[in-house]
Parts: sequence; C-alpha cells; structure tokens
Amino acid sequence: MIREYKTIEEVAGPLMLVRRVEGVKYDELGEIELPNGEVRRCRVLEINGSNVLVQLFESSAGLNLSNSKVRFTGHGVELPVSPNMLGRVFNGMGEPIDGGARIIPEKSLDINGTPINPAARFYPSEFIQTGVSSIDGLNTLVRGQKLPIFSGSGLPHANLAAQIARQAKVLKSEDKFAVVFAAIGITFEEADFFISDFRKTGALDRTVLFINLASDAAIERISTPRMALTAAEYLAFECDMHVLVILTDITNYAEALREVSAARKEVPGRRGYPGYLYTDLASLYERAGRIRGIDHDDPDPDDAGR
Amino acid sequence: MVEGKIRKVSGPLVVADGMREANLFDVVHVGANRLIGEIIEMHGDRASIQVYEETAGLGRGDQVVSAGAPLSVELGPGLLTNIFDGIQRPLETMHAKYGANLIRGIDEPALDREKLWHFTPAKVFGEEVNPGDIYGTVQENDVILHKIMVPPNKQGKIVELKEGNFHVTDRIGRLKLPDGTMEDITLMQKWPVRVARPYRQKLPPVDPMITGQRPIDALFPIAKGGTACVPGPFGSGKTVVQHQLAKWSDVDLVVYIGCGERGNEMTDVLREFPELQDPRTGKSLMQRTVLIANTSDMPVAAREASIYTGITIAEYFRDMGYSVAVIADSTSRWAEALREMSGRLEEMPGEEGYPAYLTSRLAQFYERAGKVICLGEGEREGALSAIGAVSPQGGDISEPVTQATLRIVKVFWGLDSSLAYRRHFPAINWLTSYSLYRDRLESWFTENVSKDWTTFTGRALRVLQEEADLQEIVKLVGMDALSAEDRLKLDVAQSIREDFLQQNAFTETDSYTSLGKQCAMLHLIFHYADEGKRAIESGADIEEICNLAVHEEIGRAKSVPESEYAEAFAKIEREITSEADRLIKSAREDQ
Repeated sequence: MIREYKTIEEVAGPLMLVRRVEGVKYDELGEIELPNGEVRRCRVLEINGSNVLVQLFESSAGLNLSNSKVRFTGHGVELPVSPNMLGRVFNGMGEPIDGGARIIPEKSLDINGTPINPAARFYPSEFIQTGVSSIDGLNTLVRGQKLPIFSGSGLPHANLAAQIARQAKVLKSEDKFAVVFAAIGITFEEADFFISDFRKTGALDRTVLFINLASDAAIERISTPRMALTAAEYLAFECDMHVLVILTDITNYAEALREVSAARKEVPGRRGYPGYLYTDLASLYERAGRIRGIDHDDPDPDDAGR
Repeated sequence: MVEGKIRKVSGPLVVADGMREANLFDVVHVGANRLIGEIIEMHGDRASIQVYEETAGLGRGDQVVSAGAPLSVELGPGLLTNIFDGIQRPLETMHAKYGANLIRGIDEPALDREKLWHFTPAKVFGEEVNPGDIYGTVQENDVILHKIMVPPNKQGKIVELKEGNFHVTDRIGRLKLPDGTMEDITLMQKWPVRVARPYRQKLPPVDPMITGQRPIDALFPIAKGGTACVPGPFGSGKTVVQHQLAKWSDVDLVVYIGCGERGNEMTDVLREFPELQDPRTGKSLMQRTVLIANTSDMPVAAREASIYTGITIAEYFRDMGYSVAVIADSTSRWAEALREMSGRLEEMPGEEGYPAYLTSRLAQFYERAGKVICLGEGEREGALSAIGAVSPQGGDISEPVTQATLRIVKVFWGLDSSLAYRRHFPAINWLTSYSLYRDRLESWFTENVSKDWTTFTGRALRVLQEEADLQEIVKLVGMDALSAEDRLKLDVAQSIREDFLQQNAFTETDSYTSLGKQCAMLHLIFHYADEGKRAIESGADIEEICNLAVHEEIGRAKSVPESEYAEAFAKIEREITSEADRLIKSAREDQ
C-alpha cells in the first residue's frame, strides 16, 4: 500500500524534511504532489528515526508545506530502457521530450548501477581511431577507457567532443556503434550544436540524447549522467553495441553536487565541494570498461569538463 | 547474538538501536541482504555502523545482527595469486559465481574451501609449542613455502598432527591447551585486521630493498622494513612507479593494495604479472603476489578497511620469516574514506575536512611496517616494508594527507608533473626527494656492491644540486658567461638526468637494472666528467668535449643487457680516455 504524507516540515534549497513516515528506504524515489496537481520527483537522502530528508530533483517553487503530498514509490530512481531509445531525446530525468510517445520499456534499470568486479575487467587495449592526430598519436583513446577534455571558457571543447563522436571508430570492427550524449547544464546553443551535428552526419539515428539545459533545474543534473550511463550500459552489455558516452559539462554536475552538499551543511573539502566528490565522480567514470566473457561492450564516458 | 533495529541511514553510515550488548568494532550484518558492516561508535545502546556495501534500500526498523567478532581476515594457504576486495572476499570466485558486477550481500569465504593442500608436519606428537612456532609446511606454489604457524594467542602440547592432503578448514591435528582443553589445528587461522600481529622484537632496518629502479636504488634507497611514500599529482606516473616496485623489488612477497583507484589499473596488474618473470626465481611474478582491490566505484567504507586487510595479510607472511612489501595505491583515497565517514558522524573536522585523528591513523598504519624477529622458535627475521602512494589534489603537497604522511615515512619520492610533461620518467624530482636511510645503508652497499657506490651516488646528488644553482645563473646571464668547467658540470648533470635517472619501465632491458650495472653506469658518467676536466685543464675546447660522439654511447649504456654490460662499458671507458687524449693532443698542437 502506498501512503501519502502531508507532513512536510521544512524546505530549504533542494532539500525537504518529511516527518512521521513509515517504511521508507534509503535512496528510494518519492513523488511530491503539489496543490495544483503537478507531480515532482525526489529521492531519500537520509533516514533519521521517523524523519526523512529528501532531495528534490526539480525546483521547489510553488511547494506548499501544508497542502503538498509526498508518497514513496518503493524503488530507487529507475530508467525504463529499450533498444528503441536510439534516435530519441530525453530530459535529464529520462522522460521523452521530442514529442514522441513514451518508450515501451524492455525493463527498468536502477540508475546507480553496480560496481564492476575488477577481476572481471578486460584491460583496454583496442585502439579507437578518432582521426584527430594529437589524440591518436599522443593521447590515444582506447576502447573501454575514458577521456576527459579539460577546457576553459571560450575554447572549442564542444567541437572536439563532437568531432570525436562523429569520427570515432574501432578499426577492423563491424560491430554496431551507438552514441549516448548527456548535456548537463549546458546552454541551448551548445546542445543544439551537438544535435544538429549528429543530424547532419546521420549519427542521430544511433544516438540517445539526454538534455538538461542551463535553464532546467540544476538539481536534476545529479541524475542526468547516471541516466545516460544506464542507457549506455544497457545498449553495450545487453544489446551488444559499442557505446561512446559523451557527458558535457561535468563541472555543472559537480556544482549541483556542491549545492546539495551545502544545503545539507556538510563539512566541505576543497573549494566548497563535498569531500566525497572524488568517490562520486568515480562512480560515474568507473562504469566505463570492458568486461571479460562478453564480447563487445564499452561505455566510454567522455566528457567536456573544465 | 545481539540484534538491533536501524534508526538512521545516511550513505554508508547506519545507526541502530538496541545494540548495548555488542562490542565496539564487531562485524554486523545489516538488513535483509545481510550487508556487512562494522560498529565504529557506541552511544548508550545506539551503535554507529559503517557499512561496507551500498546501503540503498535500507530503512528504519530493518534488522541489524552482530556477528560477535571483529572484522578479521582468513590467513592460510590460498592467499597467493588471489585477488580480494577490501574485506577479503575473493573477486575471481565471485566473478565466476555471480557475474561481472558486484552484487550486494554476498558472503563468500576468502580462502577456497574446496582446494586440497599437502601438509608436511615439522613437529611430532607430544612436543610443546609456543605462539609462532611452526607446525609444518605447505608448498603453496613454486615460489612460496607456506609455513603453518601456531596462532599468536595459542600454546600447548601437540597430541595429534597428520601428514596428508587437507582443505583449509580440515583438522590436521589437535592441540592440548595449558588448561587441559583440546583444540583442533587447521591450516587456516583468523586475525582481526585492526590489531597488529605481535612479534618478539623490532630491529632497525639496515639492508636495502633493491628495486632495480635507478633513481630509487642509487639516490633515494629504501630499507627492508622501511616506509616510503610517493606523492604526485595525477599523470605524473605514480601508478607506474608502484607497479615497478611491485614487480622488481627483491622481497619474497608483495601485497598490492589498489585502494580507491581505477579498475583498469588492477586489471593491468592481473593481466601483466602472471606473464612477467621474477628475475630471482625465474617464476611468474604473480606467484608471490596478493592483490587487494577496492576500486573507486566500490563502496567507500570498504576502502577504509582495505589497507588494514592488506597489511594484516602482509604481517602474516612476515611472521613466517619472509620479507614482504605492502604497496598501497593510494592512501589519499583511504584518507578520503575516513573523511567521508567522519563527516557523516558529524565530527568536528580538522584540516580541509579531514578528521583530527588522520595523522594518528596514518602513523598506526605505517608503524606496522618494520624489520622484526618473529614469534616462535628459530629467531626468524621478517621484514615488512610499506610504500604508499599519495595523490594530493592539484599536486599541492602542502595538503594534510601528504604532510601527515611525510611526518611518518622515511623516504619521500616526490613525483613532479613538470618532469612528467618533459617525458622524464620516472618523474622523481631529485631536488625535493629524500631518503633518511642513505647513511644507514651505506655499509651494506660498500660491502655488497662496490666501495665506490657511496662516493658515486653522493657525487651524483651533488652534481644535480650544482646544476640547479648553475641553471639560475644561466637564466640570468646566459650560457656563455659560464666557465668551461661549469659548462662541463652542466653537461655531466644532463648526462646523469638523461642517461642514468630516466628509466623506461616498458622496455625489457631498461625496466630493471642491477646494482652492479647502476654502479658501472655512474662510473662511466663520472669517468667522462674526470676525463673532460683533464682535457679542459690541458686547453681543450669545451664545445668539442660536449660534442664527442662517445656521449651517445653513454646514453645507450642503459639498453645494454645485464649479461654484456661489463665488456661493453669497458670499451666505452677506453673510448672516452682515447678521445680525451686526442683532444688534449690537438689542443697542444694548436698552441
């Protein structure tokens, strides 16, 4: 039975405290129903006795403490996946925003994934040809590897990332190739650049896009890269494709993380970022890899960061 | 068996009520999945528990059961060549049984219960045994003879001891304890990871751990039983240095702890080590290696436990009388795990959010290293050397983890990103690095390598130091302002840097250099320096000296195989002398 609670006690930034709840689990997905019927999503961050601290995925504007209702769904944040995701555009929470119908899911996957057993990994050794001589010659990209692009404002990192996505290929391999692209808090123009570039080259049909623009809720950015990686893992490990993941811009992701951390009044590490930033980023990047026993499989997160 | 109920869940921290009867640092099983955790704090009957697995799905009221024992590792045959996670679960077995991803709540015994080992007793019926005495041996593989020891807290009289093939849990005999009770003897024993295994006496480290890495052995050596740290910003080659040490160090065993680093690096070790040959035994390097892998995507709390798990296994082998190296990559990730737990416990932070007890915890870890006389008969000498990588954020070594580490360890191999960008590998900065063992190891090197060793290495350090000073002048007034002698000095320093210190880990002949060859290489460089000086004094032109073709020969000296170097180097040496003579002669004729 799903219970609804009207016991919201506090809302501060992206955090909300709900009192007197029963049977809620850590990391569970919740839904908040506003007085006007709108539904927003949230996630359990901490359970303390009968109090639950939740993190909103969308803005808190319009939330009313006495009339909003919260219910918990009994599972974590999940992404419905299907091979038909290719060619579609989703928002940062995995809902289609290209005007098309909803995905009919083959299954729903927890977006946090599970760590790869290090003993199951295969050492990355297959060269990916990007056609960019300074990458191929000096800083070679390898299947199952990750490549960060550090850049500053005004530098053409987007062009480089798009070029890699367009040209990347594994030599002498005829496996299916897909691109998963996650826009994390970038501007419309940047996102449009990628989309039109993919369209122009015909790559759009084999691309899954997750778009969280600069104008969207910052807090949604925490789940966007995980959505993208979950989709990529599904395509790679279950649909036998080569997957190249492009995440841009990780800086925005880290800032969203900092926002939540600051709202929780956690002791900051360096530059106000939470102490667990490294662990958190690793939980994204380490999802790249090749796995023994399965033949072709490599989500390649590749991100234009700062 | 104490049972409690969850009250609070915050990331890897779980607080449970009703735990008054449990002991601090007991292992607990949390929730329906029986996730493994450890009690780290008690307030009344409320216990704070760090959970070694992802806590998603736990809720208030879920059951917490204490196992009644502290976090322990299983010690016995089957440790070698294996790869374990931070709380000693066998990753290979888990891969075979449960697939490529780590599922929560798997309870898999660390040592293979199915495998049979041949046990040969060394004791007979009726003998009195004391802690650390050796019951007998198991030839674990081609390289390591596994000695089955009396656990440090047991003694008594043997009433039964059998030879034969046994599983690790089988009874191989019985021991009559002093109070008259009988106890089974097994191949396996358990030991809590947070308690250092006892030894009889600690000794000062006096012999070097030879690594075959020229900058390390010659300039900044580490002793067997010593401690060292390798701090370096990302991309400066920490991991390669650590791998090189794991490969070539002249120790009996290596415990390599991949603590919070990338999964692919562990794969590299797993894939490469079985194929590499130990230069001393001729067998595969994997046979002397134990791997602990807690990669950065695995749960953060288990990372905290992983270095204790690793060092306890190392201590166990040390107790057999072996020389063991623990290589931890990287202790920064471990410190970050401490910081995360500390933050969740709402403790008052010290520097940069790290807990105030960071330094003492680090000191406890490194203090478990050392050269000891082991418990038990025979005055066995064991050594445990600890080498930790530190990854200071942004390469800033003034951060707390590096500083705390430097206060404890005796050797500092400071990696430098500017050297790495110049493709100088290993990027150990010769100006900032130090080794406090140099003086102590002097006599060993003099006796066992060459009486010139100390002179040469000291001279190399001095030349490099002088080079740095001269470079300052060059920057201000230019190369032409230097005297011919100083220019020769710069030339020699460059030769030391490029021909001696740079060492390619990925070529067969250069990856490992014996001490004899290292000494001969230095001899060659200084012979050139001396002959060059003689020529200058007799009026030869410095330009001509610096342009001698024999320079290239010295540069290629590193790629001469170990078996041929004596002959080849003697030839180069003669060439240097004859070239110098030629220059002197032509200088005289010009006059």
